[in-house]
Amino acid sequence: MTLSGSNLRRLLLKAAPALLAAPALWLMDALAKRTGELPENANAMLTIPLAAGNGIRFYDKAIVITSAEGVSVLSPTCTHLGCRINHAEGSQLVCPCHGSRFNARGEVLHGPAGRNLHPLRYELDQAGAVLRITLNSEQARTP
Amino acid sequence: MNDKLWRRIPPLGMVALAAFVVCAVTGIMLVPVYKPDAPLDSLALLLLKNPAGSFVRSLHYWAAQAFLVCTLAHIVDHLLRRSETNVQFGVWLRLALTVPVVLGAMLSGFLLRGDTTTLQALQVLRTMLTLVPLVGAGMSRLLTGSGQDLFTVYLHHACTATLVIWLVTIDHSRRIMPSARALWWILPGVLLPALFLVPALEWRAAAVEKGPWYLIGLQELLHWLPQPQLAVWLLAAGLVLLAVLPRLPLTLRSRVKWGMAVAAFAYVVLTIVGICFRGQGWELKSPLARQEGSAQFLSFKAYVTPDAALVKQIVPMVAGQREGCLVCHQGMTGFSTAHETKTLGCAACHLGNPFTLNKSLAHAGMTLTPGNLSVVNQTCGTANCHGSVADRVHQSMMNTMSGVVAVDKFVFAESRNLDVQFDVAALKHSPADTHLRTLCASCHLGQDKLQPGPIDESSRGGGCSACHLRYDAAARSELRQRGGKAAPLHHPDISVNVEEQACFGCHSRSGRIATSYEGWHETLLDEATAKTSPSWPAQFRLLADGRIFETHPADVHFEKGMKCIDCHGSAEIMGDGAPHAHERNAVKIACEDCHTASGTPAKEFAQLDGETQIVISLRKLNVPGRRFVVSGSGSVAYTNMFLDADGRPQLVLKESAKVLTPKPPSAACARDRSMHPRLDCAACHTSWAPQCIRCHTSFDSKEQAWDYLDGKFVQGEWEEQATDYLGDAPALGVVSTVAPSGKIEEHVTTFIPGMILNLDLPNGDKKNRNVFRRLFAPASSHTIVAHARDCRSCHANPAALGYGRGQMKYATKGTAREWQFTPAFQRRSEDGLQQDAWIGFLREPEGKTTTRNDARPFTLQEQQRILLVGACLQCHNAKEPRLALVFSHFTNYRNYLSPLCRVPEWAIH
Repeated sequence: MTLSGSNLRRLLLKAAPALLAAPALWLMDALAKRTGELPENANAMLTIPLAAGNGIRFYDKAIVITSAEGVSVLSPTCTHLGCRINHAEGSQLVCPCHGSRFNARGEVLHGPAGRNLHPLRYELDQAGAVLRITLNSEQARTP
Repeated sequence: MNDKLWRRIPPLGMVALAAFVVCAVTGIMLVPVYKPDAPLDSLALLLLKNPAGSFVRSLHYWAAQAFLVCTLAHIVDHLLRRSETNVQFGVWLRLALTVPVVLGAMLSGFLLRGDTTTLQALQVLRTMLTLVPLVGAGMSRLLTGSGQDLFTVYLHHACTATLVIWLVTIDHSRRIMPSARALWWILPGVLLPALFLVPALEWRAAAVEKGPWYLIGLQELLHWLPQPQLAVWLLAAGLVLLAVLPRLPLTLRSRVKWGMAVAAFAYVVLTIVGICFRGQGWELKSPLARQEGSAQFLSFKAYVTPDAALVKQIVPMVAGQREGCLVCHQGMTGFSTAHETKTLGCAACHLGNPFTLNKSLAHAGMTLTPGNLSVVNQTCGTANCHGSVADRVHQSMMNTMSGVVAVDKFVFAESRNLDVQFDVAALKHSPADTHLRTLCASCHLGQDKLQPGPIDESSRGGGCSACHLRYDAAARSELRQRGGKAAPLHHPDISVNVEEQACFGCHSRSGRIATSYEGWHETLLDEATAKTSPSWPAQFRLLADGRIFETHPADVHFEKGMKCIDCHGSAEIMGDGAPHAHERNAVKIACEDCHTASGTPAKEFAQLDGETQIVISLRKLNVPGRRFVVSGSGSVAYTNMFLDADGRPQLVLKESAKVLTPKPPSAACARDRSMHPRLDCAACHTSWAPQCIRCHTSFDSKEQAWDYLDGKFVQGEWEEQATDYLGDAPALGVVSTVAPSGKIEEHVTTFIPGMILNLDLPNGDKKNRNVFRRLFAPASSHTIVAHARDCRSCHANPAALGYGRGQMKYATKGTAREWQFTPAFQRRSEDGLQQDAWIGFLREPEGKTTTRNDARPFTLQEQQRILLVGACLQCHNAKEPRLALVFSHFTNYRNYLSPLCRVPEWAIH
């Protein structure tokens, strides 16, 4: 088949959406990444009183585990598909969506999650008896 | 089917379009009332106060479900007809790519509920979108936005998806609107469910979160896939296959369709598993088990609010959510701060539905007694409240009655091991099981409390409420006035201070420690007979169940004003999370924790566990620098005992706040302990114990009895008759324990008959088999007195050694040098021992003699050593300073005994 004028035009018209798709997708991805870096979306803080004592406590954006050894703060976001872990069975943190289980250090006990829970940065203010947690500060952790 | 009727049914695609139009129209109607920045609140207000809005929402929901089902059926129908080759490839391609748009429209509608379940689903969706290679992050942001803002989802649901679906529908069907016939077919199909199945909202986080019904199969699949990317690839592969189907050769096309059919079937199976067989934590459960979470649908009553005036009232917010309960139940008082309605609302404890003002719907699924263990995981025991405590209580012996069941089954010869873990709730229907079910099983925390009212002598069970429910005078008055039929204005409190009545009811049975503690010993009198006594009523007490008790020495701790909870803390009563075979193993406190000369272990507040810290703070005992006493076992700290500036323990009574300074052991005690290193404090300081020395338990198959577990009458009744019920000094024996160091230690302590019993064992169709059981048990009778028993009361007392009551004298006339015992009761033919005996007089015990594997009577050698001292005490005064030295080195001293000493033969050979 020879590429006559009308055939070429038709081919270009048909190929245009496919040709435009790649830059459109790149633009979409760049827009999303940039939005994530905006200062409006930067870290928020959660302040909780220390006097709550030892045990496992669940907040919207953090799990605080205090014990005789000290304090640890974990992200409540399950590393499987991001559900919020909202309850414990004994000392095990249980995801309500697909049943993943973690111990009080955030280590995976039972899948389907394959990675440990992310610890969050926090600051212990003994004088004010509060714990300041930096949300969205998931630290990298060896699974 | 009738061909004419078949032709009247519009095509599935047309019906799907009709459902879509209904969906679109109702969606437009919902725009003014739905707020994407407060989605749950706006939908809750619809349910609470806007029946028309609720109906439109319900219609929108059911039209959407009909649209999805009809669309899928339409696709299947055309695949079966091989229609993929009847349309242009471009049209087919657009149709295939619209399938995820349809699912996206459905899922976005689900997400727009904005409740806890849908927010979890939103997070899962975002994560799965980010798994798409190269463009995942962008897709996630584009389609779902960020954070909990649902505006992006709303926009795509209302505009993008609607437009795409409509345009593609026009593209392949050449129709803008459905036929009137299709509308007439779909309208009844969605109107009826919209009227009678109103979609509800999830008002709290659940221990299992389930997505929309059409995606539960995917949720189940994701449970099994450690790499969720596989699910994304599977879905993508399915979509690609569907898209290129027309271009495949016929044979391959057929195989692909068969593959799709198999995949669809597997998906249906996964969906059924996910819906019916998954419970808390996505664990497998019986489909008949109680469903987690709130009801998914409300009935027609959701549109009916009987009292129009209620709708005009503002629905208060509690913890950021509407609480419809408080519209009717306003101004409720009586709570401690932590449980006030402005903090918790009502539904957090009592369940039900806070998103409706219809009384019957609001109360559906409600629990009158949130503390009942059958519901506690949803009430007191949720993650944000007392989650870890509820787990402990489930396992505690106060709930399982493990030791009671183990001993009972052992006695009935249904079990050979006394240390097996049992749970009373799991009893079946063997003779021992029915014995327990009809006589004992009411006394466990798992028994539900079904009626409102304070805890009293007759109360049984109730979970957390069994201990922590407190009715003050105002609450009692309210209960009397309302008869328990209406919610009170003055609510009973949930208190950290447990009233004495909470313990009394159950613990006035079995070992009778509650009654003994207060100085009451049970008689076998009936009320009429007791009233003829000249001492009535001063020396007697009538319990609610008709039993008559007479006065006996009370425990010294009771006389000082101490209640049960002043000694016994949560780690014992609510359990420590570990299974224990018997009650003694679960006890963590000891006399020495309070009555100590020096060196009491103690910890600072910061070193204590969270629960102890909270309770200390609630009791306002947290003074900076204060050190709280820790039990000798090191496992628990006392919330009400600390060291003063001089290091002396100070005990604060929990009810009265009175402060006591426990006395250290006396010098005599310290001196005597050195000669009796194994002696328990109770061995000397127990004044008496209730002891049944003759019982008969029979089974009457013709009578009926109440089964406490099933809550109904059952055929066959176990009857227990006691004939001799004594209240005097108990026997002594030996218990072995494992010290914190791991070493086995022996203690001499008090024992009473577990049973001296004739038992009629059912024997199938034959006549009952009569068996005899004589087993003693270590017992803390809670009858401690300040002044200890004297030496002769053990060393020259047949009952203390386990021989039973009677006369025991040391014969020294002539050449005699022997103990002689004349029992007070006749001998039993079954084992040759007298009625009330534990072991034979100066005999090595044989066979099983106790209800514990770690407890025993005195061996013959021990009996002889005890009676050797007793022999000496016939002539010598126990306080002679030389005596201690002689006894502790008797092997040496026996060679230098005075000729006047008439020690028993065995002591000198």
